[in-house]
Amino acid sequence: MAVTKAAFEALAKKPYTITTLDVPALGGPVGVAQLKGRELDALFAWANRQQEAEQRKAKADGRRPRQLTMRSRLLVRTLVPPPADGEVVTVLTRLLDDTDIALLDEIPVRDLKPLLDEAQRLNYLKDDDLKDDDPALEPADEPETAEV
Amino acid sequence: MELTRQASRSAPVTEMALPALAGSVALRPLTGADRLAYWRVDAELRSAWLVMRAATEADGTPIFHEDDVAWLAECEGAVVCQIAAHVRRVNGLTGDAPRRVLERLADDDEFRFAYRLALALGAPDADVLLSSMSSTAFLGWRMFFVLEPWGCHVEDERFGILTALLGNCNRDSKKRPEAFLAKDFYPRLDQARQVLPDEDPDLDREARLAEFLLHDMKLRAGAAGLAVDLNDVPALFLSPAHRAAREALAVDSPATVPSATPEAASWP
Repeated sequence: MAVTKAAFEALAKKPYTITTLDVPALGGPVGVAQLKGRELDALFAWANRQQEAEQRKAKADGRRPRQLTMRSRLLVRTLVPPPADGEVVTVLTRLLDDTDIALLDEIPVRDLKPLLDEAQRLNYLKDDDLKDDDPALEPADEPETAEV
Repeated sequence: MELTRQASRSAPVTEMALPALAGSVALRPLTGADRLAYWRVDAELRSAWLVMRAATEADGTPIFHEDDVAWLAECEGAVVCQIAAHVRRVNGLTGDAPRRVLERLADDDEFRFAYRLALALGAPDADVLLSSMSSTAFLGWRMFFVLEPWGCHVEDERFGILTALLGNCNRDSKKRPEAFLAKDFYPRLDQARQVLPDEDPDLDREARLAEFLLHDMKLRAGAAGLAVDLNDVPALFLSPAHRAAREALAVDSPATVPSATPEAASWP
């Protein structure tokens, strides 16, 4: 059955879907949000800009660029305070700031894995989508074509 | 076979299942104008914009309008970005698409020839051209190209020959004993593939003859330095000059054929 415009309109009006997970390492329950299309695009655009900045810096420093991890960036954008029972969330309040990536990098991967898995599941992101060397969504700008 | 594969390459509309909305959506291919417009769209709205541009009713009528992009961007990313990712893949908007197209153009002779033909015929879309052309017509053009080639490669080679001639006329043979060759002024010739193909069961006699004629034409054009094993070429296809060269060289491994001789140049 063909999806109608009305179905998309209803989807746009839907409040955020948030899953609450108990993470002892973080001292209690944490919410994981399903992002809107705009927010997901912004996440990848931000990630691409950061990676490009790293490439420019690495070139200036004469070293190989580091592959910045996409996982921490996804968590920074999706972790939210757990909503109260029955609460309808229409405006997303993030738990962390973009500058908290370094903080997340210090937490053992096994403690964050349930959150990451849930963030990927809710946002329909495959492992490949989180690789920085193979941008899943798009480059920041039209890539230049090389000479044959 | 490659010709058939290319002829059926055009795929106008794809349908994508959307389990989250318990249905499916038809997606039309983006145009060149869409591609240019896409890179000017705000990065945060690109997925929504792609959905707006590509989603159509079953009869091809667009579902959305430009004004719908803002609220489409508020739909779940899991749905909008999933559709957009599909649209990007199908329309060559992913980060690695230019490299993949470039590699295919470099490696796939038939694919590249379709673009040469489109250029020569003034057809903007090689896929549309191929799908509107019979297999035999395409083969005819392919063989015609072998006999009377066109394009930048031929132009480069032609100017390379003239420049080599000029260089050799003014060359100090003490300082530079070896003659200039066309390829010295034509860097891309170094990348030219060995035109005599390996034995390929899918490659018919006509094609092998054509490939040989192409190679012969290159020899006669003075593109010396290309490695060619004359022992692999059936005597029937050899010009008298090449037959003589094979007997004279008596090579049993790939040899470098000297630049065009007067005999070779006069062979039809």
